[in-house]
Amino acid sequence: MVTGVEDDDMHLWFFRAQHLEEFAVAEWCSLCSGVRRQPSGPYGRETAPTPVGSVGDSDTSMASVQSQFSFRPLCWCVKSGSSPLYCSTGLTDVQARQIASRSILLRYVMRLWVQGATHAECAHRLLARAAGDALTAELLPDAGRRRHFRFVYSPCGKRVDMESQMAVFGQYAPFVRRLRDECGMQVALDAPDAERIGIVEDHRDARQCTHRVLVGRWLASGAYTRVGDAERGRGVAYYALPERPFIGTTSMDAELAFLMANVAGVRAGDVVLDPYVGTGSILVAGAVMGAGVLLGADLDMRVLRGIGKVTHRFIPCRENVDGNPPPGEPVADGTCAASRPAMCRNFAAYGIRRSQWPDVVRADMLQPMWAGRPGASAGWCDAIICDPPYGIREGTRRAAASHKRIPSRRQATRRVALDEQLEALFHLASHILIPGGRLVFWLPSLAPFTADDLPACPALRSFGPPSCQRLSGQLQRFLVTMVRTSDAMPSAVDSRDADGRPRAGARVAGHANLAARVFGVSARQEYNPS
Amino acid sequence: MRLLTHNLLVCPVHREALRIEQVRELEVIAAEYRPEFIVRMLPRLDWGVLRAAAAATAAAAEAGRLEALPPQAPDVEAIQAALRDGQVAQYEGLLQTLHHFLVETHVITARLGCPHGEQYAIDGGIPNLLAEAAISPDAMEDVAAPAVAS
Repeated sequence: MVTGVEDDDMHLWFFRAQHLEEFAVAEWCSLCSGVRRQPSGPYGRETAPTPVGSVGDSDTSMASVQSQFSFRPLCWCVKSGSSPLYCSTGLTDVQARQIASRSILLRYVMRLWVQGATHAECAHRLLARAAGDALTAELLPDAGRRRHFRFVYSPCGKRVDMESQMAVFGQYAPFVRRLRDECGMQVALDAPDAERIGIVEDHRDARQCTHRVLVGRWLASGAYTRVGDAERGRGVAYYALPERPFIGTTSMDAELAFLMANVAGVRAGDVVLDPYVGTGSILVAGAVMGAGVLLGADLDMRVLRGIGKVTHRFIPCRENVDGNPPPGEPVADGTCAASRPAMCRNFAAYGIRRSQWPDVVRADMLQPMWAGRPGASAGWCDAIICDPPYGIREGTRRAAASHKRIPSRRQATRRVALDEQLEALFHLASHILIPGGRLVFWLPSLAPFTADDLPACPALRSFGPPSCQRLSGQLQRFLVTMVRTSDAMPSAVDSRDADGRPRAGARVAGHANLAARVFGVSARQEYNPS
Repeated sequence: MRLLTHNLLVCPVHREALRIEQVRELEVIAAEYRPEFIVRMLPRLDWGVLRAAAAATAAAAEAGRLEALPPQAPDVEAIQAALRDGQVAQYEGLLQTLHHFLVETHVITARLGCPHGEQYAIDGGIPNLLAEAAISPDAMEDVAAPAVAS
């Protein structure tokens, strides 16, 4: 045990899904960079606190991860290689609650009081810590207002029966007596405003015995069960895809969509754009997170209108049983379904305000049609959040010239390389994002990700290391976050020669010719210059 | 498509602002009035394009509203300062008008015209901004006088 860990200024974070740990860290860092800094006071300091470093038998150094995130460093340490517990310093309780109120992947956050190897040791230290006035002055500042408290026992994934739990609580009996005698607080399991005291057990792995015990004031749980604002918060499960009136084969999973909105730092009143909008799943998350304007663009008019059954699967609902919404049929809020993009049905079903329903445009990413404002620091978009097509379930396509003179909904398209789409995406981001605005997107790859896999773009810098999600087989995808710098507009990045082929000697990126490699064919070329 | 969105679009061929033409169907959908949002959006918008779009979509009965939009873009910093101090009354008319045009006015059926002649259809509220789907000037069909419904 490293001494000095029982800092006044330490929060304990427990994330929900361990296989999404990278995402949780990225989300946490993103939300942290968005919280209001208090101008003065002990925790509003502008400089980073001295690093606490890794504690115990850590084999993951969060210090190195943290240094890759481009926000003001806060102190991080991970307790041991497999432990899901993280510590942070430099935040106030208010800020910690603020972060928790948005976080999808957080289970809870606690202010750490003491830690020890056993419950007996912890209980002993707790009494010492709470000596004199410290109990009400430092540990429980709300003790005067709250009449009740209860323990929250968290064995970090291990199953513990009720009898053992009661035995654990029994070890803290002296502390309970002090709470009762000095603060007049009673144990109450159902009082809504009860102060909660968290007792956390950390194990090296789920089968082994307790390695460490941590006790602290339980502050808040994450937003998974009540995402959105406080009154309407209904949980991620409420937005699950199977219950939606309108989805497609590649609709973004609700949890990941909320995660992306958090990583993109969407705040109230923001302009959020999804240039590959499809069925608008990402925009739903943006709306719930309070975005002011939601914009979407897609090449496929059929998915925007919700017609046809070629590439998209529809949950049958009254409007589209026969493929076409009957014109003039009023939907729930009294307007005509036919005059709206199909994804608005989802927004209506979730009771999202009309002012937040998205505007969509049918457009090709490779034909820039969003206005760029002159000036290096000007832009109009706060966040671009998207899932570009990889060419596996959805084709990476662009519009192709048609010989027909009359414009048709069935626009001819042809395949393009994913790289070309990425360059277009970066070009778009560097022209429309406001300085500090973020671009969040998924990049599939058959190899570990390196920075060389991305097209160079001087106006965008990486926010943090990309988070990896394993898909089937060798395929994985990375959630990449980039921040628009306030530098001058870049000149065109020229990684291709005159014929549009990648320059000789350039590294083959993990996403190059992806679909052909996944399908194991040589004939199918994603890259087709003709 | 809201006029706010229209303000952010350009012609994919010539990258020039698009005029709203041949308006056949408009919808005005009441939305919650958020002055701070309007003020936040103002510096991001092209005022000339906004005025032209407002003129193209304002129904005859709304001619009075147009007068609330000055020819030059308003001083955003002055409005922000007024909003902070709670002295927003003098800008109330302007902000309400902007709210009406930017957020509440939806173009359902119309054309978007590029100064170079291309036209793009807005059908069912969705603009079709593919260069391949542009209606070139020589293939333009005869369009009857627009009937505006709000």
